[in-house]
Amino acid sequence: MGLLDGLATGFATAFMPMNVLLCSVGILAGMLIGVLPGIGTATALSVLLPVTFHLPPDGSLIMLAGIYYGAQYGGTITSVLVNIPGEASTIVTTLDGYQMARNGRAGAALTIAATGSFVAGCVTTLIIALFITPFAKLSLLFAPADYCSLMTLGLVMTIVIARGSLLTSTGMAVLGMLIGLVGTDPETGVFRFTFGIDKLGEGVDIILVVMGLFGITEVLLALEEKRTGCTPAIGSIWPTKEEWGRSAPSFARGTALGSFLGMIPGGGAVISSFAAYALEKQVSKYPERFGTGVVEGVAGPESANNAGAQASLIPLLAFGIPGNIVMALMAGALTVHGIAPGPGMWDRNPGLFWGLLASLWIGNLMLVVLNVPLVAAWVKLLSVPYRFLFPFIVLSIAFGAYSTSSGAFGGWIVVAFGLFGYACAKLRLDPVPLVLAMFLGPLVEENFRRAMVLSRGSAMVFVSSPISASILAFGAIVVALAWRARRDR
Amino acid sequence: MRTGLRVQAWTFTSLHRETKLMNAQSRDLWAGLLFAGLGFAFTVYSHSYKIGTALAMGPGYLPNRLGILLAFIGIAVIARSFWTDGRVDGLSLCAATPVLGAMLLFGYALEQAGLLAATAATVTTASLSGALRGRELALLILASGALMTTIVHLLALPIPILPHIR
Repeated sequence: MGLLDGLATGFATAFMPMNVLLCSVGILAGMLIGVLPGIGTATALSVLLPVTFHLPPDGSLIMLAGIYYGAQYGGTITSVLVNIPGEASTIVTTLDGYQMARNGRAGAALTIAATGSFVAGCVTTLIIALFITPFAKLSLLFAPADYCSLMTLGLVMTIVIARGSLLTSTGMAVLGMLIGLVGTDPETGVFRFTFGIDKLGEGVDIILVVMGLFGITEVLLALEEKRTGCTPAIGSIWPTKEEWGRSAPSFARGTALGSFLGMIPGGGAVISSFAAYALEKQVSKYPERFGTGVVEGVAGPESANNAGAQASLIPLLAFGIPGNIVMALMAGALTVHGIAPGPGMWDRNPGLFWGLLASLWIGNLMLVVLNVPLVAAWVKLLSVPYRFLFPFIVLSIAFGAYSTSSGAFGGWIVVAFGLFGYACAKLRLDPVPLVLAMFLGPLVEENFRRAMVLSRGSAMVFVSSPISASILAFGAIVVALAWRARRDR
Repeated sequence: MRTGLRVQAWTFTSLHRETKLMNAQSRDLWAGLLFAGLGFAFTVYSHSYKIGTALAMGPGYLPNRLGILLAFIGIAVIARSFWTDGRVDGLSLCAATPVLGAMLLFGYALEQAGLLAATAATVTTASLSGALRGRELALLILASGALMTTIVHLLALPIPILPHIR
């Protein structure tokens, strides 16, 4: 299917009235959960994902796109208004966004952020459409050993970005792979580490893990702090002409940087947003004013994190390797509908592939449209005291957990990982490498097994294959640089 | 005499701070113990499955190798805890228990007594961690009950709202 045909089919599906409605509902629900303090994109997405499983595949994907944008934007709202980033990719937004809010320009900051992510979304949609074919062809050249190395690179990148030391983050990644291996062994059908619990035969559901590690943990931490509500002022939601003028080039730079970094496995939104902030500061005529509420400091990173997040669909769709937790959850959702993301998905399900692209774009558009009337409402929500909010957060997570295929048993997984996440927060262990490794564990095992069969048990195959060798060399350079940067700090 | 004692006490604490002999409050020590313990458990447990060789990997092969790796990482982190800083703060399980209990309760209450009862039970249990009482609690239960019912109804989810109505 050609590029234009594909996009046309995708948009025809996504623009059906029912689907637009589902998209809007998704955005509203995503924002409602995402704007709760401390609930980031990943948690909001994991709480709401199970609800979409009951819809037909295309409607479900479109609602998913809505939820994703709503939740992501919910995180931006809390970053700007109350200085609480929902997750790593909006941390830099707090630097200038929160200062803009203190200068009475919160509304403008939010509109700039929504527009920036829309601009980035439009461009990245085209980039994905253009690059997916060459990338998918490239993936045909990959032997199992090369896949193994590529996944290792993805993990290495996550470990490098993670908070905390390289050693403990590596530990979390290894533990994540082990947890990912729980369940039926695909080769022999043996139940591994299930302790006689039938429900664990299908493995530990990544959605439940994210709910526990991020959602419940956050509630427990917030209860400890005795967090209270606050009433931020938003000011006008319309940026001034000058603010638009200064933002436009930042949109372009952020988009370019994000869509490039997102294509590297393990790249994606977090690296992109940090790099974009650094770039904006670098090219600015007044770098000293960054951190005092400079609009470029919001425009650049907010375009970049969206471009990065979307461009990481390329490694997901071409190689089956999710670059970040959001993509891992998306991959999980696709699997529920019987679609295996990865090489061939784009060939076998062209309608769904283009539908996904189009629905992401429409989700983004609806976000900009809904932003204007809704910002004031979400601000009201932030002023609700935490003693009202947290029982509701717990209820939402419990409801989401029950709606997964695990039913009431899901609660146990969420509780276990909630406690574990709470302990990790105390020990400063970053849970992000664990979640990604959990998804990659079974894939690594499968490809490692194949690689070993092909090479007759020789590990030399990882360095004798030029593709694998160069990927591993790149990974080694990244680790060396990261190690040096940490030592100097 | 007095000053002497004070100096002695001071040297003792400063020495203690510098060497940190197996400090039970070290973050790295606990993280290392966590990794080492889990790594050891996975390694031991992996022996109940066929391990095999790299060429013919059994179901226990990768868990075994990863378990060993994790245990070694744990040992390295424990070793590091002798000269790293960073104290662990305690977990407050008092506040955590109602939240975790509410989380578990929901699914079972839903299956027995329907969505509305489960919502009320979960919200009430969770709010034991905070200072939500009386009228405020009733208000929150009503609001979340209405919201949950709307969501289930709109998306036609296969979830009973009241017992026996499916």
